[in-house]
Amino acid sequence: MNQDMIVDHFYNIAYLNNVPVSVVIELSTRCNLRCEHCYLPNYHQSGMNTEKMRSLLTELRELGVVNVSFTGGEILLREDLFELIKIARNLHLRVFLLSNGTLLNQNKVERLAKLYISEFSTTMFSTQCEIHDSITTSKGSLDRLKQNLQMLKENNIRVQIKMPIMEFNSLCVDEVREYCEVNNFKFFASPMIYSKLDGNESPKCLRVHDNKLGTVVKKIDEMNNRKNKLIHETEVPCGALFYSFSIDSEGNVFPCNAFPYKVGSVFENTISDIWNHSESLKYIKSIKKSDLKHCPSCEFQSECERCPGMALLDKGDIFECDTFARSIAKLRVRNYCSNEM
Amino acid sequence: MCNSIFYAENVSFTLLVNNMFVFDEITNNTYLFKGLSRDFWLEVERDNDFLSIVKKLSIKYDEDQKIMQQRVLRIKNNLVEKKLISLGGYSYESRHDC
Repeated sequence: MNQDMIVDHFYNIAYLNNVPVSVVIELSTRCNLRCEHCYLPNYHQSGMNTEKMRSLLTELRELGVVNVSFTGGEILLREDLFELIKIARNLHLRVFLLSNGTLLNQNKVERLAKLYISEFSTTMFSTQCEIHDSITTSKGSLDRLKQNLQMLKENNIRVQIKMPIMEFNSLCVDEVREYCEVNNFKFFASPMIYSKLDGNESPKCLRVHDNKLGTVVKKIDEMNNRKNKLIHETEVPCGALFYSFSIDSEGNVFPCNAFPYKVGSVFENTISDIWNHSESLKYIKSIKKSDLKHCPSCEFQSECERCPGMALLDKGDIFECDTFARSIAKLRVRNYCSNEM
Repeated sequence: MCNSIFYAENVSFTLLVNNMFVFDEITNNTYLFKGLSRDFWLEVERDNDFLSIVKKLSIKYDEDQKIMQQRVLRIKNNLVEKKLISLGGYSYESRHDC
């Protein structure tokens, strides 16, 4: 069995047996940056304390979790970050870090290397300071990020660079991709910008304008090699709901960190109870694609990357259309299936 | 022959419905162990002594201890070659102080 097949097999088994192999934990919402598109509604939650995190990680391990992603806010603002990583690694968990990358230094990078984290994931909007720094609203943030990325590279830590594409940086996709290729960093770009988790729609104003969106979508699809690939391969709106979930900095449990539908709290129930017995989670998982309001009859369904969490944010209804995903699907149909238009 | 066996510092792993998935965080390779390889890997978590592990597995598989030792030795050597386990030295936890 080759590597891709083993990884597919892993997630298939998890999906079919309802085993939560992946979890995203928000360590804090505190952040040293104020990125314009950020989905967080506030930046003052300091997160669960070290001992709660220790018991939580142990509980997660016992439930079958192996992939732990620490996100924020900015995770490096937590003084106990390295202790938390060490706890997770001693439990033989894989640790994925999501950070803005500006607060690293040589000492911290060397410590991360010794702990064998799986991946350091960060965000770059452009290779041009005036564009990147304008989005992070922090002068010098790109220079610090680039300097720190080189340290990660020198210490053989795998890096993924995510690029949210907005109107302001829509012409920067190639330059960030080239930077990643030169440095052997994984690259992922997406134009999916949504409201804040409290419903504030201000980030949506930053989306790529309609006249450029088709070109952007075609470009990133070519990079991701997804042209003509069918996305919806199962009967459920999101397969990840069956093998992953998310915990916010206050201990609230959600199906995903982009799905603001609370299904429990780690201060009220065990993770096992929530995963196996939460009525809210059972309800979310029971939804089939055929239950959705518009999708079954939508002509763009085959190319749509509808996210139930985003539909909830967009329309306040899990069964509704994710209109931005639909508009991108429409462009994909135009890009790849012009004879059908 | 060194009889103490430890997981390498660079591995993560999980038992998922009788399948042992082992992740090498240096190479990013994922390995799938079943049968005796899986049971050997699981025993290392409970017991670091090679001969003791062989004894337990020979009972579990109802097989002669010498034959089992040869089978497990091949698995162990393969895992050492892949740098997924290390021999002798310290336990995983004590090496992770930082």
